Amino acid sequence: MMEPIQMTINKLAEDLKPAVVDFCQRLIRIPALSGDEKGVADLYLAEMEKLGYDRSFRDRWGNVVGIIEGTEPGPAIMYNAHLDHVDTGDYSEWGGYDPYGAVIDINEMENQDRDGYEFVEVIHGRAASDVKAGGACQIYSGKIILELRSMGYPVKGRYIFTGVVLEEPAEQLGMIKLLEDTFPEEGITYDGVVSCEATSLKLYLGHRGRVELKVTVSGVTSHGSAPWLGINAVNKATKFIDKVEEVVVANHGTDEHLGNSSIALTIINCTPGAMCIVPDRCQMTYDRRFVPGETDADCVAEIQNIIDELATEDPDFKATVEIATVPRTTYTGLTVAVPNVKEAWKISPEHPFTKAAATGLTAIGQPVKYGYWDFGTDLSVICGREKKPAVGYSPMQEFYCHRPVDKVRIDYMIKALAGNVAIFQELTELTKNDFVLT
Amino acid sequence: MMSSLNETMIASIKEITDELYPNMVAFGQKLVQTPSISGSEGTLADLDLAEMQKLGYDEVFRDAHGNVVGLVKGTEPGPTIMYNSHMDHVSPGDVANWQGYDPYGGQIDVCQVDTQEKQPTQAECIHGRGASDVKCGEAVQIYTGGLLVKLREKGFPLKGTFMFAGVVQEEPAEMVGMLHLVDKTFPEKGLTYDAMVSSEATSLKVYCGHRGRVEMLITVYGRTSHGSAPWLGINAIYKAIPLITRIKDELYPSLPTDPELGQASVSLNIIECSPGALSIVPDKCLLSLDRRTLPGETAASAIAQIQEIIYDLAAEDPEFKADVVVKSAVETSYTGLVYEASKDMSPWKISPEHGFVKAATAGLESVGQTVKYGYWDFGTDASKTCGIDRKPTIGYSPMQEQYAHTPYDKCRTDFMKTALIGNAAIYINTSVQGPEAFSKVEW
Repeated sequence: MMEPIQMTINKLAEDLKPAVVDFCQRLIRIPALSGDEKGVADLYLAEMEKLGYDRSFRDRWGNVVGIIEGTEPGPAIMYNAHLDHVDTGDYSEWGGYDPYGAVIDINEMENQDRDGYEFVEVIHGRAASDVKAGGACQIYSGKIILELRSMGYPVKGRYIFTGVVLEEPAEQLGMIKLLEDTFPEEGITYDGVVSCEATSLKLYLGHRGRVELKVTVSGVTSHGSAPWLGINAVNKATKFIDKVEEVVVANHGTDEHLGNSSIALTIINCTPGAMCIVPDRCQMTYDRRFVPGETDADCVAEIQNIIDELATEDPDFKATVEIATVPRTTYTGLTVAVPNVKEAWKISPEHPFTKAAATGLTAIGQPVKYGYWDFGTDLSVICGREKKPAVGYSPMQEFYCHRPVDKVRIDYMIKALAGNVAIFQELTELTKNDFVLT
Repeated sequence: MMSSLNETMIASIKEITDELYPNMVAFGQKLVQTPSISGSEGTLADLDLAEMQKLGYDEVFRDAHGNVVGLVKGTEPGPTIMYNSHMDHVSPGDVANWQGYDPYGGQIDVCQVDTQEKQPTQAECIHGRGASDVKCGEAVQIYTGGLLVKLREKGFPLKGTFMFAGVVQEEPAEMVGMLHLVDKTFPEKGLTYDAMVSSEATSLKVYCGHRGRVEMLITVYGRTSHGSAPWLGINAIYKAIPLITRIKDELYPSLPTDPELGQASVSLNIIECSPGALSIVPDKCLLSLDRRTLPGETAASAIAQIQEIIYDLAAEDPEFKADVVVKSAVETSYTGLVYEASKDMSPWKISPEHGFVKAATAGLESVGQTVKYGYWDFGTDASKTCGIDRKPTIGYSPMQEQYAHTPYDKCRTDFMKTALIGNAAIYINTSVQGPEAFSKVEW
């Protein structure tokens, strides 16, 4: 008679603690700025091979994929991490820790509910909380599934680990190419996704969308000594800026969980931008956040309407709006320009996918709490475009992301190691209809 | 006004001019062939010093800032008239636009060029960067001293002191070279000056002023927040909008106009924000203003107008916070002197009825030149001599404004010859005047 699988999962997680901590440290010691993730990708591939994944490969975009086959048919669940991280900033801000040192010590950390501090064992370093510790756990959760399989436990469906490139630049290039190119080429499908972006062991169920809008107001140059001969593009932009504030604030969408739509003018400059010349172009960049029910096209149309209205009032007013597009180059040498758009998405706590994930956590004795990200993730592609269900579940804590105090709790990592598997066990029990996201 | 130049003197001036003319043109070419972009005028200064020595100036020296001075002393006491040229020039820009001329070639040919009234004609010209701003004018001023030396040798009485001053770093428009010369070097050397003749382009007209210019930097303050939560911050760009609007709709239309110099103006030429990154609401918005002033206005009055709008807006909106300063720049001379200089050029204007202008006019008329008056659109170092020091100042030059800073940079050699005679006539007839010709310039 085998012991209950939940007990085995927790025990295996404890046993794997030294291995997962060591793997996480090795990941942190290899810098992997966006577009430069090769070293970390190689390490992920080697680790999956060593652990006995049934298949692992790198696609031409530099993403890595690892697959573990179940013993019985069932859904395919993708566990997703990104390979890249943001810059360290100035080393002097790191309080003596080497950003790529992966030092372990006992340190003060926020608790799960962010209302107190605990002294616990942590790993320090850039990306510890975004998302190398999460990725390490997802890899070693696969190891637990492999162990369960060899111990004779039935395993349904398919465990897919994906590590994608270029998440931090926010255009989701790695994730988009993985789903659009690599999966069809390799005959891989998936039914739902668990992301390891920071959730403090809660289940995260959505975030606002984001689009970066570029507005250019045009005028006519003249010498700075004779401004009456030109049309100053900055002066022409002032009415527009006021109007955008007025319109967006008046019409903003609201979501009970995700909060408000918003718009922020984050960059303004002008050209030629020299002291002796009246500027003929004023360029503005808006950071527009939106809630489910709104789309990036709506956001562009809203600005276009304001432009049209102002142009009717003032024949000298000329402006254009477009979604910012930045070319990105992968470490494998491919360059693509992708518009900077992230869809808003949300999944209900009552959705069968969410309920199954919660059931899994409860079964291994983890309390279930829900939350929503303030920032955006690659799940916009999954839920926003592909309409597949997804949740976030991660040992990492949002507060430490992108900061010079970047660190992760080892006790949370061991919980996540087990939690990922428990979630997988329940998600693979679901039927086709349970994966429909409306 | 009667001129003090008699027929024999005029005949001698013309004779000496014919004698000096080929060397003067060759010297103009040599100056054009010697690059001297602002801050690197050393070699050109060496040429000026050597030429003045060769021409028999009584005293020549270089000051600590790299300016050069040459003196020709009269036979009788009298005023010191400073003939002023700057030794630097702007970049040639793209050589491809120079229509086959080498910007540092100093080539001479007969080509199409404007008359004084800007009609096309054919004339001999020196081509190259600085030919019209101000190397050919500089050559003529230096040879004016040489002409006076020869006149003195012929026994003509000369009053006062002729001074040539070649200054560094005029083009960056903070007058660092000129300020050092007048405020530091002159007192150290026991020198003074009573009036100034500038060689900046006037097409042989007499120029009597220009607008001033003040560069101001306004900083509007806010508070950063994440771009996803703009309601938690204060966007400095939004706070700048009412200020921009009031400058454009209220301040600009209220600025004065001068019948000769035109209108005062204000132009917002650069807007920037900081941090200026995605996902962060900016906490600083920087506005650079190009303010052109008229006599009666100063940098202080221009700043005060902006400050008043800032006070008004702060009274209406407790969150509104801004300050305004005159911009400055750090300038290093070729001798290694460093100044942090304000971007503040004073406006100035002298009446054609002022004793100095009348004397200069009479001098020019006595050598057969028809005098027309004009005003510069751009600024010059005369902002120091007339704008600040209130000394009588005029522009008189063979060079033509329309070629300055362009790839068509050139100067007519026939105008150079005329200017040599004209400069001498101006000196001779102004140096004999009494104090009323050197009275403080007022507006």
